[in-house]
Amino acid sequence: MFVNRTLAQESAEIRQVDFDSQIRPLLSDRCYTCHGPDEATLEADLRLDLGIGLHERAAASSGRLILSPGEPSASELFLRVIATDGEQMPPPESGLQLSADEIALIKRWIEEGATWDRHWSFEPIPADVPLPDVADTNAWIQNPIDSFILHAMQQQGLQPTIAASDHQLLRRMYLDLIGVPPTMDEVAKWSNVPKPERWSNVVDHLLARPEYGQRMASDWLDVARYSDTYGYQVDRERFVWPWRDWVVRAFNYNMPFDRFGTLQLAGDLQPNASFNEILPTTFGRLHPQEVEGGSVEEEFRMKYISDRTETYGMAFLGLTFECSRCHNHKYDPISQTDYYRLTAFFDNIDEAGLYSYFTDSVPTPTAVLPNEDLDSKTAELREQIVAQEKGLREQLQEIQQSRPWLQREDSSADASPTSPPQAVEPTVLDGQIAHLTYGPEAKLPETSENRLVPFQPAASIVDRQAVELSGDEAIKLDVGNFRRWQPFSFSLWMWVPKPMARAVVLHRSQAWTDAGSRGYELLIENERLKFSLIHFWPGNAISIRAISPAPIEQWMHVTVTYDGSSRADGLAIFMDGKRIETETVRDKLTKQITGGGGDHISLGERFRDQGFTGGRVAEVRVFSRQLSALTIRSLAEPNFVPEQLAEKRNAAWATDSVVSMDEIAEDWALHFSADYQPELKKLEQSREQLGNLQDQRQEIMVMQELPTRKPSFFRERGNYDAPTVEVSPGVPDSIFPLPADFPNNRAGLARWTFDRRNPLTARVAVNRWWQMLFGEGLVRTPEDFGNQGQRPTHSALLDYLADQLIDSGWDVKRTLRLMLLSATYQQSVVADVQTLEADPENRWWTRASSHRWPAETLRDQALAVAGLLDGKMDGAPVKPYDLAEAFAPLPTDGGPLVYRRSLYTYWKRMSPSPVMIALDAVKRDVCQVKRERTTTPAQSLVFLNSPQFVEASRALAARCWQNQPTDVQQALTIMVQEMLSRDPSPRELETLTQLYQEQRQRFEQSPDRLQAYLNIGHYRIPSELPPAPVGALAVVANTLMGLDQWTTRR
Amino acid sequence: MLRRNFLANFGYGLGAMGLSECLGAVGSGAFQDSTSVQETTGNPKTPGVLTSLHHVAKAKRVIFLFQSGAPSQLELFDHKPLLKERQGEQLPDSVRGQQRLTGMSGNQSSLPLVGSAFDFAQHGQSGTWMSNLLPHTAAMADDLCVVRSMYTESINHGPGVTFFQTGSQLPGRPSMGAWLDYGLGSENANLPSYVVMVTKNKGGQPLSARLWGSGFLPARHDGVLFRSGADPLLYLNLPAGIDVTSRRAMLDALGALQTEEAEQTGWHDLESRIEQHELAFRMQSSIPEVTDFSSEPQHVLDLYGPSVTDKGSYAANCLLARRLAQRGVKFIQLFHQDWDHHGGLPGGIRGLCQETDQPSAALLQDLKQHGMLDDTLVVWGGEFGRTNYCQGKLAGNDYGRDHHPRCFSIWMAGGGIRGGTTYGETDEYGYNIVQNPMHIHDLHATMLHLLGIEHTRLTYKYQGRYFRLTDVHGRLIRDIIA
Repeated sequence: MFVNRTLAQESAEIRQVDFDSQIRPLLSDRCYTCHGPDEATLEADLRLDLGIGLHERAAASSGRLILSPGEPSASELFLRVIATDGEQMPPPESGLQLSADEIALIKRWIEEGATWDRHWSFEPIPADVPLPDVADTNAWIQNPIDSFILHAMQQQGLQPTIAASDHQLLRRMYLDLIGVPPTMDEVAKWSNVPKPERWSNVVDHLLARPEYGQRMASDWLDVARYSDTYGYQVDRERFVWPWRDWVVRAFNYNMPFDRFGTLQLAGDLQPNASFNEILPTTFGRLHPQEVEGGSVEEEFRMKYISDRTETYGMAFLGLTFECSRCHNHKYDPISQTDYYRLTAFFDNIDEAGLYSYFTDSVPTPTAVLPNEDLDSKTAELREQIVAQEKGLREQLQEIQQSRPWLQREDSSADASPTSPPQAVEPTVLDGQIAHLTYGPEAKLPETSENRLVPFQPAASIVDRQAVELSGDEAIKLDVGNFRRWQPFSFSLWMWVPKPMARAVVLHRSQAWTDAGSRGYELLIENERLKFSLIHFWPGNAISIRAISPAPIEQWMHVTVTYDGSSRADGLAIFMDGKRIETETVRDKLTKQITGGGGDHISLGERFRDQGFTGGRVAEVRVFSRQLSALTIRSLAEPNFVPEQLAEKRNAAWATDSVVSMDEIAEDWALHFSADYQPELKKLEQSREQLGNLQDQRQEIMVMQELPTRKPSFFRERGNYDAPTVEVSPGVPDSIFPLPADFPNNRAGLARWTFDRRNPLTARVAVNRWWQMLFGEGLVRTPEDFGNQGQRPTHSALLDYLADQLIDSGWDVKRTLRLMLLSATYQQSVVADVQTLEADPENRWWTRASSHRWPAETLRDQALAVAGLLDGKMDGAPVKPYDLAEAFAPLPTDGGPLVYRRSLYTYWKRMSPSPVMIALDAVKRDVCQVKRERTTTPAQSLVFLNSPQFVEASRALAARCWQNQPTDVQQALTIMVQEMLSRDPSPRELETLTQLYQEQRQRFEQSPDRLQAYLNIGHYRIPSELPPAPVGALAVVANTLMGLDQWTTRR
Repeated sequence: MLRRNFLANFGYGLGAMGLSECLGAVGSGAFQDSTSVQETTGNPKTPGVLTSLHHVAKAKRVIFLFQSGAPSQLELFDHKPLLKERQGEQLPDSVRGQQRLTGMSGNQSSLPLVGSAFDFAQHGQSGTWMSNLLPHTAAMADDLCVVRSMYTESINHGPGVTFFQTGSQLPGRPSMGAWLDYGLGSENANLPSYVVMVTKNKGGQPLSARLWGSGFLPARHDGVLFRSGADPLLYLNLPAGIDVTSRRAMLDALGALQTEEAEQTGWHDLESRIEQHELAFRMQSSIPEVTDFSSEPQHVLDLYGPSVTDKGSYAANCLLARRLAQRGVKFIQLFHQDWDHHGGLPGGIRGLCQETDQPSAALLQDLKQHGMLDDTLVVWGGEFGRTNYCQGKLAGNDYGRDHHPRCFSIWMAGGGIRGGTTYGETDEYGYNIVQNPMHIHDLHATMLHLLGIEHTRLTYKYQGRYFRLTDVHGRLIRDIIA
C-alpha cells in the first residue's frame, strides 16, 4: 500500500501518531543528549535512538517495561516524562522540557502501540513509487511531480495558483538553467512556438547550451569549497581551475551523476585511469591548506583528512559528520569510530600537512597535465636514455672482460680528459669540489655554539680535529647546488651521540616543511641514516634508508653517492667503505631539486628542523661525480690522504686481486676510460633534457592512492596528537553495510555511495536540484538529512525522484527536465491571501518561489544585456573590478577579461570578491550546500554604484540608442524588453521617460559630470552616439539594475 | 477555474483592500517565504531575536581593541622579576610539563629564560602593575581590570584569532559581534550595528573577513568592515558623474516603478527591498558624517595624539569608535596587527605601544568625558600570550618570545567592569596560571552577561544542533563585575 507519510496526514480527522515524523524528533531533541548514540554521555545504558528491546526491557529502578504498547501508565518512559519529582525526564537541570501537547502526543503514540521505525532517510529508497490517486478536475497535472504536489495540497485544502505569465516563465527558465536571460530575438522566436511544446522545446534548448554547465558548476563549486588560493593566513594562489572546467564539461555532457561523483571520489582508482579520470579527484584536495611557519605538519594533515571526510558526508550523504570527529554523534547513529573509519578512506595518499612556503611546488600527490607535444618528446627522450644506459652497462661489461688497466702503459699517451693516475694532482681527489677539515691549530669563531673536539676515528691518533655540533648553528659550505641529472657524492666522518629519532646531518635545502624539503639531505631518522633527493616531500622524491640503526658513540665513515638517474636505485649509502643495506622509502622524482634557497650544503642544523645536536663530524668532502667503490674504501681509511688512492689503484691494477674485478672495472670506467666517460656525459645531457622538459610540465593536485595502506587511527577527542587504536576503512553500518565484494578503498566507497541500496545519495542529489529550481529543497535542511534536520515536506515525491534518478542511470538533465516541465514549477509566484495564510512558508508549493537571483546570475545578466558578456568557456580565473575593493586588494584585469562570467572570477578564499559576497555567495572555506538569501543596503550600493553595473548600464544604453536613435520611448521600451523580456506598461514608460528627460537635461548642463560618468570602466560608448542622451539612458538602465523584477525571481 | 478563483480572491481585490491592509492583515514574517523573513530593516530600531534581555544590562555596547599577533604579557602586565634573576637559565622541566611547543621553537635544543627589558611599577590607587611601555594606559589604571590569567587552546594565529572571535578554532562560526547583532538588533537605522576597523598599513599575520563574519547566522549579521580609503563601505560613494540629486531622482523613479509593481502583483517583499535602497542612500550620508572629525574640538583630538587625523590609523579608529558608539552602534571592533614578536621583541613592542598606548587610554578618557564609559565595555587583548623563554638565540639585549597559550593578559574597562582590579595570577616563571584561570569562553560568557544576556540562552539552531558563542562551555566571572 502506498503510504504518503507527511504532515498532510495531520489534517485528517482520525490519524495515527507517526513515530518518525512526530515522536522521533521529540526524542532526538530532548532525550538523545543522554540517551542517544553518544556512548560517552549515555545514561542508564538506555538508547532511545535505536528502539531495540525497549518493548521487552524493564527499567532497573521500577521493574516496569520501558514501553508497554497500548499502556502508557505501564510504560516507564511515559511515567518519567510526567513525573514531577526527582524522577522527572528530561531532568530539570538539563534545561530541556516537554510541553503538555508533546506529552499528550507521546501518550497517544504509546496507546496506539508505540511502533518504532527507522529514521526516514535511512530507510531504503522504495522502487517504483506509485503515484498518488488524485482528483484533478482542472487538468492541472502535467507530469508525475504534479500528482504528488496536488495530492498533498488537496489534503491541506489548498490549490495551486495560476501559471506564470509567458515572459516570466521564459525568463525564469533561462536564469534558472543557464544564468543569463533570453535575448529579444529569443523571446520573439519562442513566442511563435505553440504551447505546451514551447516549454519542452525551451528546456531542451537550454539543457543543450554550454552555459548550462556553467550554471550547474557554480553550485557544485560551493559544495566542493573551490578556491583559486590555498586559504588560511597566507592564502597563496594555486592552480586548480582545470578541475572547474572539468565540472562544467561533465554537466554539459550530461555525465551520469554516479560517474560524476565516482570520478571525483576515486577517479584515480578506475582501471587504467586516464588523466581525465584522475583530474576530477582534485575535488579531494580543494580544502584550505596551510603554510604558516611553525605549524605542526601532522595537525594540518589531519585537518585535511577531516575536511575531505566531512565534505564527502555533506556533499553525497547530506549528513553532518563534524560532531563525530570529537565524540559520538549526539543525534545521528554515526559513531566516532564510524567517523575515523571513514577518514581512513581519505587518508591514504602521499601528502604533507603543509605546502611549501619557499618554493612553488604543487603539493603531492599530483598529476601532470597532458601536452601532446611534450608527451611525445618525453617518450622519445626516455627511450634514448634507456638505450644509453644499456650501452653503458655493456661497456662496463666489456671493460671487465678486457681489463684495460693491464695495458695502461700503452694508453698513457692518450689525451683524453681522463688521463692515467700520474696526471691527477696528488693532493686533490678527482671531482672533489670541497673539503672541510680542521687541522690541529684550527679554531672556531668565539661566538660559535659549535666546538672543536679531538677526532679519533681509530686507535691511531689523527692530526685533525672534529666539530661537535650544537644543533642550532649550521656549518656552511659554499658548494652543492647539484641538479638532479648530475651525479654527485659526499663523504664524512660522523659520530652519533645517542639514538636519535630525527637529526639533520647534512643537507642542501632552505627548510623542512617550509620548503617541502626541496633539495637533498642526509638525515638520521629512527636511528637510521636516510638519504633523499626531494622536489616536494613526500610525494615527489627519491629516498633510501638504512635497514640497521647507525652505531652510536663511535666514529664511522659515511659516503653517499648519486648517479644522476632520478631513481632510488641510483642512491647509495656506504659505511666504513662498504655499501650498506637500505630500503627504498620513496621512488618518484619528476621535478627539480634546486631552487627555494639554501643552495649550498649545510651541516648539523636546518630552519625549523631538528639539528644534529651533540653529533660530531670531520673531514667532509663533496664530489661532483659518482665515486667509485674503490675510492670510497680509500676515503674510509682513518688517516686517508689522496696519495693513498693512487697507491691503492696501482696495487689493485698490479695484483688484480686486492679488490673485486667489479670494483676495479667500475673505478676504471668512472675515472679513466676514454670511451665510457663521454658516453656517461651524453647520458647526463639526455637526462638534463628530460629534466628540463619535466620541469616545464604543469601539475595539479589530485588524489592518488598509495600502493600500501597507511595506518589510520582513531583520534581521542579529535586531537591530531592523540591517535589510539588503528582503524581500517569502513562505512557507517547504520546507513548500509559495505558489501563484502566491494574494494576497501575510495573506489569501494564510491560504489557504496551510488549503490541502489544506499538510502541517501539519490535523495540528497535530487533534493539539491529541487532547491535550485524551487528555491527550497523538499528537505529544507539539505545539509542535514539526519535526526536533527527537517523531514521532507513530500517524502513520496522525494523517493519518486530519487528512484527515477537511479533508474534513469543517474541522468541529471532528465531529472531537471522533469522538474521544469511540471505545472508546479510553472506556477506564478503570486497566490491569494487565504493560501498565503495557510501556507506561509510555501511548504506545499502552492506557488513558485520568489527569491533574489544568485550572485553570479545577477552580475552575468547585467553583462549579458549590456552585450559585454564574454562567452569564453575555460581557463584561468579573471579579476574583475571589484577585486580592487577586496579585503586584500588585487590588481584587476582589462577587457574582455572583466566581462567573463562570474564563475571565472578569481576566488581568493580569505578575501573573496566583495561583490559576490555582498550578493550572498559563500566564502567556500567549507562545503556549503545552501546559500543564505538576504537583502541588505550593501547590495543596493553594488547595483547602483559599482563600476561593473554602471558600465553595463552604459553599454546597454548605447545598444538601445543604436537600435532606436530617434524615439526615446522606443529606446526605453527596448531597454525594458532586454532586461525583463516584456513590454513596459504605459505608467512605467512614463516614469522612465521622465527620469530620462531630467537626467538628459542635467547632463547637458554639466558636461563634466557627463564625461566622468561615461568614463567609468573600460567600456566607451561608440563615438558616433550623442553622449548626453546615451548618458541619460544609462542612468535609467542603472536605475533598473536595482529593480525588483530584475534582481528577483518572479 | 483556478484562474477565476485567483482573480476573485486576489488579483483585483487589491483595489478594495489596499496593499498596506493586505500586508498588515497577513503580518510580516508569517506572510513570506522563509527567506524574506530576514528582509526587515529600516525601522528606527531593528529588533534582535531576544524580545527582552535576560537581566539588566550594565553595558549597552562593546568596543573591542583587538591586538592581533599576541602582545607579550611579560613586557606589559605580568611582572616577573624572577625571569630577570634567572636570565639565560633553562626553563625547568618541572615548570614546562608536557606543554606542546610550536614548530618554531619546539626543535630548539635550549630554552633560556628571559626577563622583561622594561621596568614595571605600580599605578593608581589600586597599585596595578604595568610596565613603563604603557604610560597612558597606566594613568587609567583605576578604571581597568587587568586579567593576567587568560588562557586559550590554540598555538597558532589563524586558529587563535578565530577562537577569540568566534569561540571556536574552526572557521565557520559566527563572531561575537554577529551574535550580538543577532540577539539585540540595531539601534540606529542609518548605521550598521557591528562595525570593524583594521589599522591600515600594518604587517604581521593577515586577517580574514570571516573573523567578523556571521558564520552560519544570516549574512546580514556580518560585521561591516570600514575601510581606511575613500570608501568606508564597498561602493559607498556615488559613481563619478552622479550627484545626490540624480540619485534621489533614480530612487524616486525606482520607488514609483516598484509601487506600481506592488499594486499590480501584491508582491509582499517589495517594500523591504525599496527600504534597503533607501537605507543605502541614508548611509551614503550617515557614514561620511560619522567618519568626519571636523566637528571634534582640538582638545579631544589632542587626547588621541597626532596620528588621529591620519584616517585608518589606530588613533583615528579609536576616535571613530567613540563616534560610532555615540550613534548607537553596538559592537565596534578594532584590529591592530603586528604584535608577533618572535625576535627583536624589545624594539618591536616599543613601537607597537607607541602606536596604541595613547589612543587606547584616550578612548577611555573620552568615553568618560562623554559619560559613556559606564555603559560601554572596552576590551583590550590579543589571541594568546608569549613564552617566558627566548625563541632563538639570547643575544645581549635582544630577544624574542614564542606563542604561549597557557597564560596571557588582557584588560577590560567600563560597562560594569570593576575598575582598579587585577584578576588572576601566574606562577613566578610566568608560565602557568596558579589562581583564577579565565578561559576565552569565560570571557565571552562574562561579556554577554554584562550586556544583559545569559550566554547559554542566546542560541541558533544550525545543522541539527543549537549553537552558541560559548559552545558548551563558559563560566561567568563575577569577581570582575562591579
